[in-house]
Parts: sequence; C-alpha cells; structure tokens
Amino acid sequence: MASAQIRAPARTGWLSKERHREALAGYLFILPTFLGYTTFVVGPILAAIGISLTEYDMLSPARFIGLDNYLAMLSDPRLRTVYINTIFFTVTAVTLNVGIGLILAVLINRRLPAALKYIFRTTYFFPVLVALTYCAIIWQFLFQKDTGVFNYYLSFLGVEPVPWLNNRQWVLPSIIFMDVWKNTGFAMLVFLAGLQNIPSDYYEAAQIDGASPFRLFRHITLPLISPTFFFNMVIFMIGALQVFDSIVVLTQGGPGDASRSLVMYIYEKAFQSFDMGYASAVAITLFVMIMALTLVQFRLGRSWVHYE
Amino acid sequence: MDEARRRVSRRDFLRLAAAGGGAALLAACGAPQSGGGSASEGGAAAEPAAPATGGGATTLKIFNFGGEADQVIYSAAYDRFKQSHPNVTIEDNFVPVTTWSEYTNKVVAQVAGGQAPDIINIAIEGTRLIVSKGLLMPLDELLTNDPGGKELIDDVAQPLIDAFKVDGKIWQVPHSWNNMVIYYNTKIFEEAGIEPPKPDWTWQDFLTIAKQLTTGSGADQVYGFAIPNFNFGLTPWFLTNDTYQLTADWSDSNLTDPKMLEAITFVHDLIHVHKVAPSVEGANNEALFSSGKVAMSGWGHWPIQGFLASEFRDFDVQFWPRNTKGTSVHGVGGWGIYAESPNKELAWELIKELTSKETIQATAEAGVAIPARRSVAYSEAFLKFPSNSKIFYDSLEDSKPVPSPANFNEFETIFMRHVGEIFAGTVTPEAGLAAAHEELSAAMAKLQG
Repeated sequence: MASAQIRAPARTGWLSKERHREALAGYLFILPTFLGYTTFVVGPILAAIGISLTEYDMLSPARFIGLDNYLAMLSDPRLRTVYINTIFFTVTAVTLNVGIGLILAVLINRRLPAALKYIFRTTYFFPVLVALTYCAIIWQFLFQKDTGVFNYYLSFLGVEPVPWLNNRQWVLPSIIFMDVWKNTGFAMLVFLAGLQNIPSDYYEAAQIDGASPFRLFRHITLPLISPTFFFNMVIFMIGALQVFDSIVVLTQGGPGDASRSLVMYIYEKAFQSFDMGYASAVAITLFVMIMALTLVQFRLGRSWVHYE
Repeated sequence: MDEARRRVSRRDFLRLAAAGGGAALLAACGAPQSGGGSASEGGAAAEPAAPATGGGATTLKIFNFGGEADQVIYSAAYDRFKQSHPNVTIEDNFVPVTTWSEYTNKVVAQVAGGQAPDIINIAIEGTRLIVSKGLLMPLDELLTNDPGGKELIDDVAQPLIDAFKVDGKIWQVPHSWNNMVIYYNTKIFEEAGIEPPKPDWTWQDFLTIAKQLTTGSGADQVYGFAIPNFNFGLTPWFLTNDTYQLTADWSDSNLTDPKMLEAITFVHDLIHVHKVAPSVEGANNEALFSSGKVAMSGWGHWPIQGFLASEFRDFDVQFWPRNTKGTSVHGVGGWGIYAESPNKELAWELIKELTSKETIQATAEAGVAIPARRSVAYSEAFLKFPSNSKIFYDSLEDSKPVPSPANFNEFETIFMRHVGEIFAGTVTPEAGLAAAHEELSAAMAKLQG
C-alpha cells in the first residue's frame, strides 16, 4: 500500500500495467478467503433458505411447500419457549460475562506485583482453556441435587437442597452461572489488552487536575476501551445466541424444554425428527436475528464507540 | 477359512440372491465378468463388481460403532478375513455411540451425503428407520441357504433374530445385545444383613429393600437405588407391569394405559415420596454405585468392564423385580448389508467372519455386550464374573425388544422430555403422560402417513 501511494503521482503506461498486476495479485490474495466464504458460509445459507421452503428428510426427495414451514412456526409453542430461553440466556450471559470481565480486568490492571498480576490473570483465564464438555460434566457433578458438591456444602449452612438443574426457575440461571465462570476470563483478557493501550499520561494529567478515581474511569477508561467493549459485546452476543454444547451435557434441554436453546431445537428438528425443512426455516430466523442484532449494535455503536 | 469362502461360490451366491428375489442385489453384483449364469441378466451395474478373490482390489467400507476394545477385536477379525481375501481392503469407520438416535442420524446423514458403506453395524433402535429408507437388503436366503448362516442362526436365541424382522424378513445378523438387570452391591447388602434378591422378587420386595438401604445424610448419605434415566433403562418398569410405551405393533402411543401411569408413578415416587433414589438430573449412576453411594441400580452388561477397571467387584446381578410379570427388555446390535453395495458377496463373507465363534468369543471376553451366540454366552469366560451372569442370556426367554418404530428418534425424544419433567417434579405423572401421549400420538400418526 505504501509503495502504491508513493508511486501514485507518476502514472504512466507501464505503471498502470503494474497497477493491473497489483490488482490481480490483490484479488489472488483474497481468493482463498473468498472461495472459503462462498463455499462454507454463503452457500450453506442459500441452501438453508432453499431447504426451508421444502419438506425434506434427507433420504426422500425434497418436496416444495412454499412458506408452510414459516407459517407452522407461528403456532409452535415449543419454538416460543426455546426463543424465550435463548433471549433470556443471551441478555443475562452477555451482561454478566462482559460486566464481570471488565471488573476483573480493571482490578488486575492496577499497580500490582507482577507475580500477583500473573497469577490472577491465569486463574481467571484458565477456564477458557478447558474443553467445554469436561467443564460441563464436572459442573453437572457439582450441581446434582442429592449427591452434588454445592448442596453438600450448603447443607452445613442449613440450606435445603437447591434443585440447580431440575427446576424450571433454577435451571437457566445455573447454566448461566457456569457459562460466566467459563467465559468471563476471555472478556477480561480482551479488556486487559484494551486497558494496557491507554497511555498513562492521560491519567496523570487528569489526576493533576484533581479527577476522582470514578471520573478517571468514566471519562478516560470507558471511552478509550469502548472499541474493546463493543468487540466483546458482539462476540459474546453471537456466542450466546448459539449456545448448545454446555446445555446438552448439563441438562439435555430439560426438565421438559426449560433449558432448551434455539440451536438445540434446530438440531432436534433436523436430526431427530428428520424435518430438515422446518429446521432450516428456524435456522433462518436465527440467522436473521443475529444479523439484525449485530447491525443494530454497529449502528448504536457509532454514538458510543470512540476509535482513536 | 478358505473353506468357508469356497462353500458359497460366486455362482451359488447369485443363485441364492435370485431365489430371494433380490433384484437390487443382482443389479449391483451381476457384472458380466465371470460368466456366471444368471449374473448377466442383472448386468445393469455401472461399476464392475469386484471378485471375491484374485484380480482387482476391493475396498469394503463399514459403518461401525464401539470402543477401543471393539476395534481390537474387529481388526483381529479383519486380519483373519484378509488371509482368505488378500486383495480386500477394509475401511472401518468407527463412530462412538452416545445415543442410538444420534448414531442412526449419522448413518442416514452419511448415506445422504453420498458416502455409502457396504456393511452397516446398527442396533434395533435404528433398524426400522434404515429399512424404511431402503438402506438394507434382506438376508433370509443367505441365512437359510448358506451353511455358515444356518450354523449362526441355530446358535442364536429366537428373540434376537426376531428383533431384526421387519415385514417378515430378516435384515440384520445379530452379533451382540444388551438387556436391563438389577445390579446390587453385595457388601452393602451383607452389612445390612439383607438377603440377596430372589429371581422372582416383586416391586414391593424391591421397595422394602431400597428403603432399608437408604441411610445416613450429608457425606454419608447412601441411597437404595439409582434410577436408570433413559428410555431403555426405564422400559423394564413398564414391561414388568405388563405394558409398554407403544402399542404391540409399535404403531401408536400406549401412554394412556393405566398400567403405564402406575409404573411411572412407582418410579417417580422412588424419588419424591419414598426418597430412596437421588434425583436423576446430573446423577452419574456408575460412579454412585461403584463408590457405594447407592446400593442398587440397573444396567445391561456394559458397565462391568468399567467397574472391574476401577477395582470394584462387590456386586452381583439379578432379574428386574416384577409387579405383574417377570420379564425384561433387550436391544440387539447386528450387521446389515447396504442395499446398493457393489460388494454384497464379499460383505456377506466378512459378516460371517464378524459373527464367527472366534470373533464373538473375543467380544464376550471384552465384556461390553452380551454375545448373541448361546454357546458363547454360556461359556466359562463369559460366566466367570459376576457370579450370577447366566441370567443375562436367561433373561431373553420372556424378554421383549425395546420399542423401536421407524421414528425411534422422535419417539425417544418426546417420551424422555416428558418423563424428565415428571421426574423433576415439575408436572404430575398424570399430566406428564397425558401431554406425552398427545405429542407422541401426533408423531406416530405422521409415521402412518
């Protein structure tokens, strides 16, 4: 890029040939990504849209049924439940993951002995590195109502056994509890990177002017890490809307549908009922929702995200 | 081994196939290359069929399930097979089984994706689905006309063969199976001074013992029983009450049967009324049982190896307790041949090796499942532990196969979702079964078309 800018003023015949060559090289560079993206992202999306207009069980030929699958969604009470579950999970898990991640990052970013800093950072980040399925199996053991570890310790405090996983009110909060333990370290690490980019002279200047710690945080830290904040929000939102494995291991969606997520429901319809058409239609609504929410975030972001 | 192969020559095989009306089989196998009789009539095959031996190399693809122990056993069987079929390469695609629904999905998805195997290893839970989709060929002629097939059939209990009968035809050759029996901790029984359960014990006897063995609190809490919380594991409770989740022909829901309600209520009450069983969500029954935290639970033959590996040997097995009927449930695994396979003849030869006494004996010694062959199930190696092991094959006598309609995946999902709510106590057994019945009836009606 730099060389193109330097040469730009003197555009002669052979240079423009060179420009063509550069353009070609540029296209060649993006070709692998372009091919990968069209084959593995755009292609499947188009296929899902096509399949969502059919009745298809994978082995018999697909039958075109127009918008019937979309209409069927309107009168599917289970779909409503899994949508509500997913939205509840997303709002709560994103808020807690990003919020707690930020608090941890700010606490660790203070002037601490290097060793202590290292220990804290590793401790909070560690769960991110452990495979989710192992975590979920261990947490299942912790959560078990009658033989689990949590209730065992709570019993010393005289607390009645908590139905962590077998009660409609408790089950999603329990899963979110594990999710935050597992993932907030990632948000923390991203925030730490953002915080470390803030030049310390800003704080020094403000402190000379007599700014309180809260004002430092509100008027220097927050605006300067807003791009990091934004990044975390988008990444965590997309992840939460697609939550699947942790719930599969912990509760298989139960009791009933009380902890079933949208993606689990799509999986059930596609691979247990072999109703590919309906599953694709539901998947398309999820796709549209994720895209819309991401666009809204980008749009809203303009007013509060400050890029330097 | 060479002899076994020679016993069914290519020509014989085609005759068998023709006699069985296996038109698809002919089309696939009948390449006009050995000039073999009827083969030319069916010569519509695009690909040349591979010869059993000699000339061209053939790859047999297997869609298979199992663990490490099974892989060792199968590769020994493949080695034996290759001695007589040096040009055959065997490509074994091992898929771990978590639930039969998921395994069946994978078979179907793989075939749908154009990656068809020659041999499919699948359990009864998936049989009707893949038969209804035309994935398997019937094996009756091979089993009756081939001496090797006949020898196998004679050594296998009828219920295991019947399990693979759909529309009067046999679609798979059973290799191993499982059932549900009660495991009890002999040490806990001894310490409490309780006699081991009798073969004809009743639900009431069971409950009395479970209550006696539920003791302590906190870290010392021991439960009488851990509920096997899966469709197969719950089925004995229904069968011993002379009922079933589906009607006898597996065409409709039977969940409104008062006997179903009675059985589900009995199990529900173990958690919520008698408090002799821990709640089912997140309970690891194997771990609880082998650490002495529960005195009894139910499994097939599969956890024994794990118990032995963790040096837990204080247990024995007994038939399921009965309410009105002494019986249990069984599920069978078997080999089938893909209907469009170009290598059916070879596939059949390999299946005979995979169900040979040698292979099945090795399976029995690995101990995961119960061997399909009677001679192996009553062999010393299989009976040596636990001491009451003969009840595994004995239980077949009155046993019923796990209900496995073509929409097994859907049936299991619907049933277990509602049972989950009942056991969690969020709905009553009455309301839960009624809701399950409504949903299941609709799913079964869809199946009938």
